Amino acid sequence: MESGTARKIVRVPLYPLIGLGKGLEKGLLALEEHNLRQKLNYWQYWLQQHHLQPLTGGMGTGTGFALGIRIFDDDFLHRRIRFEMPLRYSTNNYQQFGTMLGFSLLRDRKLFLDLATQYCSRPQEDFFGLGDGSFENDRTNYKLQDRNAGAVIGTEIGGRARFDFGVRYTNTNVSGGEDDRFPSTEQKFPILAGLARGSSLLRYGFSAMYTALDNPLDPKKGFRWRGRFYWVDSLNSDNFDFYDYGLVADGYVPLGRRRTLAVRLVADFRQERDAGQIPFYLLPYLGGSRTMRGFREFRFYDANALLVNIEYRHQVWKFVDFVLFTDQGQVAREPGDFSFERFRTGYGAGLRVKSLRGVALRFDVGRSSEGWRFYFTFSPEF
Amino acid sequence: MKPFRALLAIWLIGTVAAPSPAVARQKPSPGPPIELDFDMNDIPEPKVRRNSQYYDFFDATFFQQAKQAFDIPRHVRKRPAANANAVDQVPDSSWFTNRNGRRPMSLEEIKRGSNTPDGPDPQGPWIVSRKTSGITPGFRIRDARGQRYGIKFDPPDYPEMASGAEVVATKLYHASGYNTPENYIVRFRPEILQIAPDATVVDWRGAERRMTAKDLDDVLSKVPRLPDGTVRALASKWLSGKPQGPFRYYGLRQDDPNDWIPHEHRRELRGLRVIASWLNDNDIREQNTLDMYVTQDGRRFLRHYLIDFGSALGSETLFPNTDRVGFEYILDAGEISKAFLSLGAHNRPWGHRRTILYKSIGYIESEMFHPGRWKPNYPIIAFENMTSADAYWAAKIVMSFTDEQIRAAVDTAEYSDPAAADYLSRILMERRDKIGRYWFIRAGGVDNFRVVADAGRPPVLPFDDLVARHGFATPAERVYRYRVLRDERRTPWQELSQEARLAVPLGATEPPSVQVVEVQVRDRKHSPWSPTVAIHLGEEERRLRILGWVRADK
Repeated sequence: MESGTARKIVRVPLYPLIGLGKGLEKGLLALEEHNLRQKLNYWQYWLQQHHLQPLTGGMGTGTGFALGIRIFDDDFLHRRIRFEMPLRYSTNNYQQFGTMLGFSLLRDRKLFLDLATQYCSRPQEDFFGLGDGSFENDRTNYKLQDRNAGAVIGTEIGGRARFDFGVRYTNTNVSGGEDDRFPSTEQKFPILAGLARGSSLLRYGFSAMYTALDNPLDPKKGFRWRGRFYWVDSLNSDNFDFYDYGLVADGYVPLGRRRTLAVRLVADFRQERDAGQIPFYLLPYLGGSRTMRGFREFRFYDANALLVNIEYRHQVWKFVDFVLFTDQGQVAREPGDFSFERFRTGYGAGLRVKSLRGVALRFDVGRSSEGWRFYFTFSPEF
Repeated sequence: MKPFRALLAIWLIGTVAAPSPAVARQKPSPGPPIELDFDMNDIPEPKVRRNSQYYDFFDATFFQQAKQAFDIPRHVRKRPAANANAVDQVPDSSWFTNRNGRRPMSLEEIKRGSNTPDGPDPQGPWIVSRKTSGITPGFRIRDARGQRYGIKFDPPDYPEMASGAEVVATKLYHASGYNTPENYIVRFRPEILQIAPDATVVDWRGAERRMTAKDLDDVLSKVPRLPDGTVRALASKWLSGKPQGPFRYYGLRQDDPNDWIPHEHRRELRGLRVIASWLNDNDIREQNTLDMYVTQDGRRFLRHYLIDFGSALGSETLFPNTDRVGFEYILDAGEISKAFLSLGAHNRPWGHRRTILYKSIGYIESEMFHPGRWKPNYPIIAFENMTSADAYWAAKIVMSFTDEQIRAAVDTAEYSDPAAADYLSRILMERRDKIGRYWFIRAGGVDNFRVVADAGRPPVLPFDDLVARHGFATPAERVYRYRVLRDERRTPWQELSQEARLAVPLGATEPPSVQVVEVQVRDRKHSPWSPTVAIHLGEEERRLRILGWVRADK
């Protein structure tokens, strides 16, 4: 065989790669020769100087690709007031706009007052029915529009502990879901608390948090817990009066230099008061990338939820962690209904792509009795 | 046959039938071995080769790996180096000049390296023409004699580290045979710096503008002053000729007619892996090479340089080496896979021990250093084609450095703490010995074959055993065997007797009938036989003489 022909044959499978390489080389040459990296850094700096920060993601799985911008000022009006206005919009028409003013009444937020308002529209929220006996095939969706305003006063101690009292007014509308592939929730579940008219609620109560982590952005050692107890009162004739309380604790045990065992416990409870009801969209839920992988997002709703996440994290590269996980959870109408036999199990593996600021991207593959699920998110849950 | 299978079959046949690239290796033949590979013919000026350091990383880490994976014959047997001469050495060329490996250099020669007698004139003035924005901040100057230099400073927290590493590595690379720039440790008063009217700077926004006094102050403010008011820096003299961009560690430069040996098959580039491992030069890559279009004796051609050794030895230029350096690529698919598949049970043993004894040295050690497993920051294709014969050739160069020569090279860094210089010298000596032990044993270590024919006695073929000579094994531990190819028939392997040690008896037959003698060696206790060295013999004026030898790969 002629030498030139033979060489060409050998290279045939490489042609796409060679083409890709040539294009990449030209692009990277332009990047370097036009100092594009420095220019990009400068643009980021310029945005920061003008109190702007680009946002990506952060609206949850199934919301589509979200982009946004955060307007901020740590010294608003030159009065050491923290100001934030995040604005996000996703390809599935999810919207989230908010404002926050943070007043440090004593130095280092030893006493603080935060005022916040928020509007969010979530047009394709999934609902499968109440309880852990709901069926995956009963998937419906609804549109949730939520406006709230509130204030929190509290104290932060040494950057580790926080205790606060908060009050928030929430007005919520529920209407038909915009995902045409599935029926709207009211068609399949016409009798659900809060479905007809939404709600107007006043929520007030206490929360506390303690953090003892080596690096809050990418913890390898330590623990953290957050607890809350809130009263929720209806502001109109609906009888939506209930307690909202719960505890979240996560701990990290180093297993050598590059390996970590991470455990998170979540207990989330709602309890009716005075024969009140709980709007279905304010019930705890399990399922999805933030709670129980291997199941669809919002798969199980009920008044009470327990969740245990266990992750074995191993740093395979400077910027990549490999994760094995199992998630165990259950929902129940009453706390007394919880039992070991009723835990649902999800398990799987994932990758965490990290930057210097912590986890930037997260890929998970989960498996459960309901099949395989793939998750791609921009931020870690814990 | 289905279309896919037919295509696969055609491709496989093509793969196997594909010829090797041009091989220039000198076969054993009458006449002396080639000492000069004359690749310095007059050529038209090539185009400046632009390169991207990011692309170089992607290319080496992904594209070239894929390309090599499809090179089926390479998986069976690596090609021998294309430019070794008949006695398995590398001839001088525009890439390489045999120096300490051929003849011991004096301590003065080692210290001088490629430097002309003096560096930049410290009296000044130094005219600053540009602030450089590389990893290490610095600027370009022209001294009072009109010579141009790049000036670079050490990181403030690690004084002497990067400049020391650069100078020591320059001396040792040069003495090994490579083309290097002139690098000097200089101490100067900042007052001698003057900004040229047309001096420019690329600022942090990526925009080019006029350089100001503040730009100069920004650089100098981070440089500690010595007690006499001077500052220490590295001065790298502008290479003579016109820069034409870096060379690649594979392929050919199409616009250089002198370049006809694929770079990945050049022994001096394959063996560079061993020398870089000795010097822990993890940042060896395309970006740190340079082709210069030079004029010599009226001919214009490309000379190929290694440059920028600020990340050699214990330095990572701005910081001491991390514990990864030398053990893993930046993106090491093999290590990542091991960690991934073992679910973390595979742990990197080097990841626990980093101790920085001297800030001026950074982090370099010899205890965990493994000559066969050392890795640069990312794969270098020429390194991946290295055979045990290439490594043996390079290891001989490394072993040619005496303790005194190493100490002389380290002294050129002018470390203020003699203990730091002692430490670095000791580490380099220990790494040198590890390299010699590993690669000599791997290739066998038998060398320097010659024919001795005393009157009235049958001729013999004495040789040296470098493993025993350097004390990596005692002579009693070594066993040698040989066989003779005569009239196209091989004799059975025969062990050399204790009396005849290190000399193969060639028998009383007429010399022309002996054509090839194959020699192997092993450690008496455990190791297998080494790769064969085939010594080719021929007749010259009715006397038997060596035509050359070929060393097989492990």
